[in-house]
Parts: sequence; structure tokens; C-alpha cells
Amino acid sequence: MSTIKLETSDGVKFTVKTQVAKCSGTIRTMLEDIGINPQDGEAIPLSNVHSTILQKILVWAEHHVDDPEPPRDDADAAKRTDDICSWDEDFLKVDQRTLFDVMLAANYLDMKQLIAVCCKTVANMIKGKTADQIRKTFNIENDFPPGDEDKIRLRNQFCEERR
Amino acid sequence: MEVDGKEFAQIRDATIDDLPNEILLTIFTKLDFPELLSASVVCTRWNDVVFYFFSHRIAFRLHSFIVPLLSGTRSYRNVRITGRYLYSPQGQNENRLAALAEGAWNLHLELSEVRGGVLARLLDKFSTLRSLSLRIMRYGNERSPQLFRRLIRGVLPALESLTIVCLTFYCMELLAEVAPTLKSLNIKLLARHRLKLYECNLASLRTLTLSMDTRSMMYLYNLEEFPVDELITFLSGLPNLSVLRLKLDHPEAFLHIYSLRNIVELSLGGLDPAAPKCSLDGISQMVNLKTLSITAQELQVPSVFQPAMTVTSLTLHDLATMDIKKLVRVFPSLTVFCVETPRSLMFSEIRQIVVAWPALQELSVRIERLSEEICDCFLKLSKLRKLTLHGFLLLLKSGPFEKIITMPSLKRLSLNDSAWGAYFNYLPAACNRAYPCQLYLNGLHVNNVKCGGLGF
Repeated sequence: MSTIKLETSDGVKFTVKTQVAKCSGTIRTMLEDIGINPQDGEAIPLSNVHSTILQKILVWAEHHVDDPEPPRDDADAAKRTDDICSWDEDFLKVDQRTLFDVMLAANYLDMKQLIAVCCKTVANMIKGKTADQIRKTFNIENDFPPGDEDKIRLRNQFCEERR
Repeated sequence: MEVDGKEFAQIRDATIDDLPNEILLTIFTKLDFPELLSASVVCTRWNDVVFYFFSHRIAFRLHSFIVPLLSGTRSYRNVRITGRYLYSPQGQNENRLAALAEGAWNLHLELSEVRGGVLARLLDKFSTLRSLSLRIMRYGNERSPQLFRRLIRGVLPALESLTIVCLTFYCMELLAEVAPTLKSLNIKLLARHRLKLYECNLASLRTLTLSMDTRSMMYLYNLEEFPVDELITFLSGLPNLSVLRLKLDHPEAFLHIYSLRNIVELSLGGLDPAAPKCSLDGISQMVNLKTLSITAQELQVPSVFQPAMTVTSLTLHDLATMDIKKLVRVFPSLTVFCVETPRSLMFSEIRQIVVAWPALQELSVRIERLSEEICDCFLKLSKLRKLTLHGFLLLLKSGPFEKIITMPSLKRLSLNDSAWGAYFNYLPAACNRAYPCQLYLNGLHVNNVKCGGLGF
């Protein structure tokens, strides 16, 4: 089984199965389209990914490496957040800092399935909360000029879902 | 995986603020509408993301015609105005309305009464509209139709879609003015206004939904017969028409519709009540037809069978009787079959459907019970993606339900049951696993079952 080396932003080198590394669209493109040859022993530099996060992501990729291709875009499926498998649920039981780092890295590495499951997790953290509770949950600063928030709330009262 | 190199170095702190817009967008897509509005109040960036990317989901609603004092210069794609009477906006109110109208794409106007002049001045402000829906009960007295015609000249230059319930000449004047750019028209009109419609230049029209009340003409104006040939000449003169939905109390007219060869999607029905019968004689002339929907109590299948090979989707409403064996000879290629009969289909009919169209991807039927034998029939449809069942006390036992919801091909199971409370006992247990299939009960998506109960 062929392996390749990946080098993270902090200079740590990982040796992983090529098949696992190809869960990343970015790496797949490097190998297949640009033709970087992994046999050379050179590590592929991932300058935007930290080693702790890459390690976590590789654990996810190894678990999901044999997953079938997800079905084509389905409007209902895109809205769903209750179908996270229990392994992923446990995998994403991490502090927010790690969760968002994983999302940023997954975005850089172009791992659509991992991004999707992270987005569902974050959506579930938002669901059912008021704006205040959301701010508290994610430590977001209320940066509206004084008074604007009330005006937006008033304006939102006139908004309804388009039928 | 092997790791070499130095110790893991310290990592920087990522927060939700670091996520790029496209990821924030994916997250927000999963929120329900009220949650989306809550998210818009969190911070300026979230507010911008919500109102920029989700403007298609948000409608700004005004009751009566008083525009509230609103902060900022936020524009809304969709505006909905409802009320009794449309007053001529004045002063500050007019400025606010003009600000609201600027950049709007879709306007829905629902009023009891309006004066033509006021309507014309209102529409003039919404000059960027792509879609307009007008539901107006009554128009106030106006001195001159000519004045109205002059006022609406050049109004709504970008309009593509118009929905209109037309009871007066005002609507017909407006239609005539905006007709050339229209791609979609949904109109309900009295038959005595029909010539005004036929005269319109509708060269771009692709979708026409036409409800014509011919009875009022026949009974009130005592005309002998509805001139079907006029209607057919009008329809065949629309070069780009591909979707036609017709409601007409004239089943004879339907036979002539079948000569329109460009139509891809066709829906036929009476106004009220449903047409007693509809003949399929000649349907095979429609060589481009893919989707057919018929509302009638009785279907007359032609005596000489000429299959309509291109039709893949068939929907039948209000049907009292049907003969599957004959239907399959007319429509051999169905992948979507929806039938709404007032009575439940019998097991033998379900079996005939399954034998007739084994490649069905979508099926909607009314049944008495989801029995083991009906369930085994459905299981034979190996490509079935969407199953909708109507009935009363569909599921008395959980066995068949388990079998259906675990069908590998099934993506969506909808149960429309007038006795849904009966499932309370066992459904939560049955749902407490992650199925690839989504379950809808009486239109509601059953989710969060893990958090206990079905939420009803």
C-alpha cells in the first residue's frame, strides 16, 4: 500500500496511506492533476494546517475512507441536521477552538463530507437559541452601533418566510 | 499514520468569526426561518450574510400601507403588502415606500380595494420587479380607463412572471402592457375578457396557468358554446409555450389541446367541481409531453391504443375508477405515478401498479392499511425513492412500517394519515435510528426523535 508524507505548518511530518490522504480534494488534485510524485520521499507542505488538527483530521479520514460517494444535491438532505452518525458525533465532541480549526483545515483541504458534518454540528448549536444565547455560546461580540439592534429586531418583525 | 518531527507546537485560537462566509452560509442553510432571523441579530457580519444570501427566503410584509420607520438602507427582494384599501402614499411614507421598492424583485399585493391611479403609481415605484402577484377584490371607481392606460405605460419593464385574478379591465390593461417580457403567466379570468388575453403579445411566454370561467359567459351572457377554436388558435400561436395548466369547464376542449406538440408539461382540470370526464384520445400526438396531470372523475382511455412513450410522470386527481391495465398501455414509461382517488386502492390495484411500472421512482396512493401484502408489493419497486401514502390508520402494526422505511432505495416516506395520533405508542421507538430515509407525517418532517418523542 503506497504512502505519502505530509508536512504541517509547524514542521511535523505525517506518513499516511495515499488513499486516506486523497479524502482531501486539495491533496488529490496535487497528486493527480499537478502530478506531484509521492515516491520521491518529499513531503507535501500543508502550510495552513497545524499538526494537532491534521492528526485529528487524519483519524476522521481513516474512519471514513471507504464511505460511498454521497448522493447528489438533495434540497431536503442539505437542510437536515439530525443524521450525524454516532462516530462523528463522538469525534466532534471537542472544544469550540478545535472544532473551528478542524473546519478551517477541512475547508483548506477541501473535504466536503467533513465540512458538512461540522456545519451540521454548529447548526445544532445555534438551533433553538436566542441571539443573546448564540453570542454567549460562541463568544461573539455584539458590534451593532447602540440602538441598531433594536431597530433590526423591529425590522425583523416585518419579515416572514417567502411562500 | 506515522508522525515524526518535533513536539506539537502551540496552536492559535480559532473562533466562529474565523469561518469564511461560504461555511457560515452552509451552516445557516440548515436553520429554520425563525432561527435564521435570530442569527441575523447576533452581529453585523451575520446580519449581512443572512440578508445578502437568504434574501430569496425573506419577504418584507406590510399590513395596510403604512411603511414603518426602518433603520439603514436594507433592501428586500420580496415585498408583500396586504390590507383593505390602498391609499395614495404621501410625504415621508412615500419616501420610505420608494426606498423599500428599490431593488425589490417580487411583489405580492393582496387588497380588498384599490383605485387604478394609485395602483399605477405604486407599480411605477417597483420598477425592478421580476415577479408580481396581484390579488385585488375590487377596483374603486376611476374616471377614465384611458388615464389608467396612460399611467401604466412602460411600467415594470423587467417583469417576467405575473399572477393575476382578473375581474376588471384594469388587470387586462396591465397585462397588455407587460405581456411582451412575460415568461410565466398565471391568470384567472372571466370568459368575457378572453379576447383581451388572446390579443396580448406573449411571445416570450413559457408557462401559462389559465383558469377560465366559461359558465358565467354561457349562463349570464347566454352564448351557445364556448369557442374552443379561438382558444386553440391563441395557444398554438405562443411559440415558446412548454408548460400549460388549464382549468376549464369544457372537457371537449381538452381533445384539441392534444394537438399542441410543443408542450412538455400539461395539467388539465375543471374549475369547480372537477370535470366529470376527460378523454385521453389523441394524447400520443404530444410528442414532447413528459409530465401530465389530470383532475377528472373518469378517464376515457382511447379504444385504439397509441402509447404516449415520452410521458414519465402522471398525476390523477379525483378519479373514481381507473383501469391500470389500460393505463399502462397508454403510458408505458412512467417513473412517477400519483393518484388521488376518493376511495382507497385495493390490494389487487396496488399489485397491478407494481407489475405495470416496475421502474417507478415516485408513488403516491391512498390505501386502507399498510398490510404485509401491500408492503411486499412496494418492496418490489427497487428504484422507489419517494413514497406517499394517504389513509386513515395506515399503520396498525409496526412490522410493515419497519420494512418500508428500511428500503435501501427510499429517500422519503410521507404518511398523510387522518389518525396520526395512533402512532404515538410505537413510532418513536421505530424512528430512534438513523435511517437514510426521511419521514414526513402529515407534511411535518419527523426529526429530533432522539430527543424524545416525535414532537407532537
